[in-house]
Amino acid sequence: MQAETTVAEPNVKPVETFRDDFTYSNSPEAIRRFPFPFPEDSYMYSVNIEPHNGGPPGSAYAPAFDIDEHYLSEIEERRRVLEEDPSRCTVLPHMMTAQWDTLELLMESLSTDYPQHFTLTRDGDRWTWENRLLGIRDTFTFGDPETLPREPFEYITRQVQGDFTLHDQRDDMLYMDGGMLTCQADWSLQFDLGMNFHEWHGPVPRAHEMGIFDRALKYLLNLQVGHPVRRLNWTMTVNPRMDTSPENYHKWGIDRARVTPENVGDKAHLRVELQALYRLPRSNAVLFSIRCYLISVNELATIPKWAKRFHRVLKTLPDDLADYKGFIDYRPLVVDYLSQFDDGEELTPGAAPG
Amino acid sequence: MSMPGIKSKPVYTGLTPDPGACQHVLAGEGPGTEALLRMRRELAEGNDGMAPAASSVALFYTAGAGPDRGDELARDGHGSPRFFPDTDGLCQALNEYLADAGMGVRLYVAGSEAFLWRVVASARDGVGMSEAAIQMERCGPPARPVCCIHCKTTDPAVSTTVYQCPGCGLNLFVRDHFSRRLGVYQGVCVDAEAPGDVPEPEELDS
Amino acid sequence: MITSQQPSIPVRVAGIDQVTPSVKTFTLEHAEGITLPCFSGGSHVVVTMKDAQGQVCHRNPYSLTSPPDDGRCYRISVRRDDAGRGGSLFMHERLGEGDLLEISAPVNLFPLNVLARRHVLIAGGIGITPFLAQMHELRQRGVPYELHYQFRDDDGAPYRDAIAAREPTATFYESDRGEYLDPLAILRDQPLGTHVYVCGPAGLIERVSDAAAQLGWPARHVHAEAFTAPPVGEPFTVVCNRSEREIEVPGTASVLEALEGAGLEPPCSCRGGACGECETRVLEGDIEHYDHFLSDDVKAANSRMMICVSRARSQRVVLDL
Ligand SMILES: Cc1cc2nc3c(=O)[nH]c(=O)nc-3n(C[C@H](O)[C@H](O)[C@H](O)COP(=O)(O)OP(=O)(O)OC[C@H]3O[C@@H](n4cnc5c(N)ncnc54)[C@H](O)[C@@H]3O)c2cc1C
Ligand code: HEM
Ligand code: FES
Repeated sequence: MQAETTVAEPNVKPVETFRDDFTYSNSPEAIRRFPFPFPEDSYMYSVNIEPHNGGPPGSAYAPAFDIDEHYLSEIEERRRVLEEDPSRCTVLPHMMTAQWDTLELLMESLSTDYPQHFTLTRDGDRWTWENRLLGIRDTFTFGDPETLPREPFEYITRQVQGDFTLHDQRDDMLYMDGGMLTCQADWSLQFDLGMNFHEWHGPVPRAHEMGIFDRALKYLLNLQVGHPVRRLNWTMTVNPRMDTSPENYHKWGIDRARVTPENVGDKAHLRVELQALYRLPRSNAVLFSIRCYLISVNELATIPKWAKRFHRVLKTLPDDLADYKGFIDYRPLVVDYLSQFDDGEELTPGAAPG
Repeated sequence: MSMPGIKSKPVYTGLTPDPGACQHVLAGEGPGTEALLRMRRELAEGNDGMAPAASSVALFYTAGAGPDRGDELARDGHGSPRFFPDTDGLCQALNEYLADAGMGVRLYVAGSEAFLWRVVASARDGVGMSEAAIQMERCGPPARPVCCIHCKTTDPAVSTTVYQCPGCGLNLFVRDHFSRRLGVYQGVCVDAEAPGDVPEPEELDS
Repeated sequence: MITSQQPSIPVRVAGIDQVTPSVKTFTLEHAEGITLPCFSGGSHVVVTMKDAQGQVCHRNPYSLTSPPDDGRCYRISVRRDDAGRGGSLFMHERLGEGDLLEISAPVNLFPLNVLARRHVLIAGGIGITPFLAQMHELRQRGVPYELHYQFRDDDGAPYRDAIAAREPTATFYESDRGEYLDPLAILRDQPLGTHVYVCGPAGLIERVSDAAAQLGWPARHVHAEAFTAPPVGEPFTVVCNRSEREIEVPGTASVLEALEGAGLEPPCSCRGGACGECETRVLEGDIEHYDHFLSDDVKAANSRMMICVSRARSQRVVLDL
């Protein structure tokens, strides 16, 4: 069931920052293609998985791995995080085959979706990879890590927006056996490394009892090569900060106390993760990509339907979810602020802006 | 703030002889002595229709977290325990022993939580023993090994819900989130959103 | 465009070898001459066979025996089974070089454990097939392994000579000559970190599993694949109560696909029985449930079904659609 969809040509901006002076912002085009996650006026956990087989032309769902105007900024932020803490990219030794699988999938997908920016040339095992956005051109031997400047997984994920985790499948279970994690929503790869599906989801409220993780796991164990799936997850972040890691929580946690009625529109951000899951061919492992999108409440409010819907979702979100997601303390400020945009009119179903 | 029943938190049951096993290995430290004595007795008597297996029961012991009750094990008369000055020495000898054992061996570990996971990690990473072949009984006071997520310093025995990290000095809240690979709970800055506002530490009860 | 979506793969039969009187090996190449996806040892593909009228007549899984990292071609070996529903006979008698087939992407239900320190592979007859690819992988990774291969006679022993030439660790057992492998002896002295894999007749799988249990092996270290026929759907009729339509569901499509084919758009998301979106009220009929969503009680009551995966046991179901 292949959807022929058009991938948006990214209009890549010069580097903006996700820390200190926070110069990151979204263009009007980026706002319109934001993967707004709420098709209804309320939100609760569910097994919200669907085939990742394209989407509306130009949308974030159209390509396998979305490259957008923030490409250079996110790549630079990743470089800075890794410079401070190289362990943010860790892969257990038994995942080497999965590393090469990841490299192949990412190179193939990017060069097909964005031929103007990426080219992969294969001559048997001799591969040449060109990334014109970063000025990279490397020739290497597929399968021989010595021929790349870094291990294959780190090499390629340093060139792609979004976090990635790698999962071995054994004993009818998925294990978190590797990852590149520099823009995560408050969880630690170093700590969760080696855990199974239920363990790393341990801190999540309600969903275990609702049977969501049991069903999701059974589904993922049957994931097939060539049939990736996706889901959306969301939370809120103060300031456009990509690296909301627990490792650095003692530095950024204070941001949450600094939201005021005056600055809430600019400071509070909706953080959406477009997550996709791929079965990898040689290793039978699963690649999980977590593509993070940040939008300030004021940017979001330029789409009237979204402002109204987000207002209703936040207002009715159960406390345990708001607490887990880390915004229970400043939620009233956001809800109050958004109420000015919500006239109570009935909204069309679905997440589309119009 | 605590999360009862979170899936990553280990659940310890008492040690019981596995009737399917062909070989039994006990490893323990001071606080686990009671459990070790009980296991040796049960294995020698053979419970639940299991043949007595005393001849193939090996015991590795170190005083560890204390108190040292090694003399009780020596006096007990079921086989001869092997004593070690520290956990590292114990793990090394245990792995040499396990490397010659077959797939039918079961490992029973008794002691503080930090001890349990050091032994498990050593057998798992050293000789490829799977956790399916290992039982654990947590003994002694409910102190937890906790790793500071910020500076990565591990305190092997934290007994309160909030403590000060010996590495970086931050006040940490002890989460129930547990890593079996590292054998530690996660400690996270407790007053990041309100510096200085540190809740009163409470005794950990499990 | 999502580059990794491949619903099914068109292949051409590039070669057929009679490896024993009852086993044929088929070499398959991509019909468009491009490379096939790599796979992991132990994977199988589902082969769709069509009759002269182009109607699907069989869909059988076959293990891939070629080197997993070679995308130029796949190889499968099929044993002729005169007692079956005819899929293997079709492969043996109707298929010729140059013919076109459709296969699924490789699926692995019998993977090697990557953490294992040592692998013991036990094959019975045609059950050797998944191990051919696995041994290739293990040789490349440099992990120790040993193969034990039980068969009745030469006819039942595909690849025996090739294996004997290449695998110094292989032991052969020919039952017509009174040779039987002894699972207890094979498994008794294996070191910690060993995994055992068995593929073959149900009796062999049972003997190996029993021996492992008797020797105290943790169950997680014992892996088996039986070549039993998978559930193949029977055709049935869906009656949509509200739209008053009758739709035929062929054995090879789900209710959801049949409804979509008829122009309906029932809600759905995961298409795999997990999310709950496609839950549909059943007004009449007997359901074979394959989903992970409905509770056992609801399943037993037959009052609802997940139309993306579940099927009818009766010839007719009436759905509230
Ligand atoms: C994962 C997997 C991998 C496989 N790999 C291989 C392989 O590499 N090589 C290979 O030759 N085969 C393999 N098989 C088996 C293969 O898929 C076919 O089952 C086999 O080729 C016989 O096909 P068939 O259509 O002739 O018979 P099938 O209809 O599939 O019948 C197979 C057997 O089941 C019995 N049977 C069928 N229908 C019924 C019924 N209604 N009631 C009772 N008994 C019934 C018959 O006795 C018959 O012997 C594999 C199977 C699986 C599940
Ligand atoms: C291999 C794939 C997956 C990985 C690696 C993964 C990883 C994670 C992680 C690390 C967390 C944070 C846990 C914490 O607080 O420490 C999380 C949260 C969550 N996950 Fe997953 N997950 C995966 C698949 C899924 C799937 C398929 C579902 C489907 C329902 C799901 C549902 C959730 C939910 C509901 C949360 C809570 C999010 C929130 O409220 O913000 N996950 N996941
Ligand atoms: S579409 Fe998800 S259960 Fe059927």
